[in-house]
Amino acid sequence: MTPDLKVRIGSLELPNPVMLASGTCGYGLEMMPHGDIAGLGAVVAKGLSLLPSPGNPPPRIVETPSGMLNSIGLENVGLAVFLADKLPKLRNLGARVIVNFYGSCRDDYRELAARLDGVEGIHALEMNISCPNVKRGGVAIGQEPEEVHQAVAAVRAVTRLPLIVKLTPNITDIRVTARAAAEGGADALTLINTLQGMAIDVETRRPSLARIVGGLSGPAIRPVAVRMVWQVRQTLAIPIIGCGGIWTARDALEFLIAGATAVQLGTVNFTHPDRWVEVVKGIEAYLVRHGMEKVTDLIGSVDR
Amino acid sequence: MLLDVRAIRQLTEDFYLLELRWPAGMAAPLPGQFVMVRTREGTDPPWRRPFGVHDFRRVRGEHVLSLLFQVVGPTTRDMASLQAGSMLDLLGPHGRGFRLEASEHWLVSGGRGVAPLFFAARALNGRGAPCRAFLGGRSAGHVLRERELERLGCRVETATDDGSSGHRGLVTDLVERALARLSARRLASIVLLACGPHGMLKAVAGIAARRGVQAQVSVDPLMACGRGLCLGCTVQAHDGYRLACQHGPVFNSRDLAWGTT
Repeated sequence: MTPDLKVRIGSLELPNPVMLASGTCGYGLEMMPHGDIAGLGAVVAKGLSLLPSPGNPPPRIVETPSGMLNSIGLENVGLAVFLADKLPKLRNLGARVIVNFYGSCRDDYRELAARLDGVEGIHALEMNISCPNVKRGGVAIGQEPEEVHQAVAAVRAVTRLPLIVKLTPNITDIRVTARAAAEGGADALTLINTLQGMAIDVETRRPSLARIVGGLSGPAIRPVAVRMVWQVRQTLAIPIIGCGGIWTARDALEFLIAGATAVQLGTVNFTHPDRWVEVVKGIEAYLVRHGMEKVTDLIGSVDR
Repeated sequence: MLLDVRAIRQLTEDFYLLELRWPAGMAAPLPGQFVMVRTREGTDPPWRRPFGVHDFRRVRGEHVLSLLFQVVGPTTRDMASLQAGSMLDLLGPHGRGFRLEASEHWLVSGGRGVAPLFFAARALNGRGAPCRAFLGGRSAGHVLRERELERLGCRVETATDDGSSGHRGLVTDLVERALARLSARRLASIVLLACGPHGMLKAVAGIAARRGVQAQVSVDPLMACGRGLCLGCTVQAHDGYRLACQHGPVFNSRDLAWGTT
């Protein structure tokens, strides 16, 4: 018997729990040569702002042990181009689209969410209050529980779409901001965005990134992410989307067992653009091997 | 995709030439385009490595893609130990390459920068277009493909830091000197194609601006994906940022902001 891979994120039902993380798959369209994105649970589009953003000066990336630092700065095409150019193509492909969005203040978040509400072809919103690479908005909101609560509530008030809030790990206790987001009206949480990090070219003694500090992603951060998913699962019932260094199906399973309802693949897409196909198959094969009928039986099943 | 290694040959102490069988039906690469290579399972190094296509030709009924590489790290060390019959994981071709539209092209390379220029010389030879090559390197062992470029009809001059091959000094000295003798009309018919270290490319851009010739430079910033996903390989143009992987890696030197880098 084929196991049931369906999961629910708020009112959104997904055919399987595998998504591509924002900022690692373009607008989803760029992934088409490597696999039909309609076969994904969902694709999370590159972080969107009201107006186009050029992003940060180079150098923006550097390779680190089992990971990378980035300081892209949320370069994106802006709302108008996304709606006119990207979304219609995604709709035609039949992909489930989650729009990651950000602003520099609470009003920006609210306006963007209001304008995305009810747009055909958008299945959910992912509110980015966790980007470490922009001066305002982003992580500045995500590190203050009271700000998180109010910003999420402001967005909640203007959208009927499932609202996912992506949290930063750059905080003492992720359970505090997770609770603030849940109480603000989030339907789900994405855990985690990148960890702040820094690298230096010792020959030139210059920081490797133009903005000096960037966000660390990749397998190097996976244990941190798994820990945070597990911690939040112990205290809140809200669905969690686990994200951070998933490289194989085994890694995705680790997040599900820790308590994630779904997972996002990020940095791995750069190296293995078709890896998500194997991850979906690998989760299915695992369920068969363990005699489990549905993936939801796995969620939070860590044996203590 | 996995490609079959057809042959591998060590050229000098740390340079190798790798020939891969290009699957029938795959889009053929164009001069200046690149491929992304991975040699290891697991998560280190996490990124693929970009290589400008060195050559692409038909040999006894099959398409052969060549990579010229210098051993500098884990991926190239692994590549050096490949053997005929091994497989190599590669994605591509990616990017926008050289636009070979001038009546005369001069190739300017530093070290391994000769790799993608050779493919341009192959294409120019195919259409009977005149070509000169200026090859620079640290020493004679870092000046590669001199003979082969001559066989493709290029007039070749070399420069090395230690004088072990050709001019002792910078390859850009040779270019500057050769251009200095030409009339404005002749200069207008020449396009420089350059690939090498950043400092060399910057010097080529300066020469092009001073002498009134066009130059196309192939840049090489750190690249994670090679396909416009990570937005990491940004270069500064006069009117904003460009992605080396999608808008380049070959740019008109006049479009880039050299002063800030």
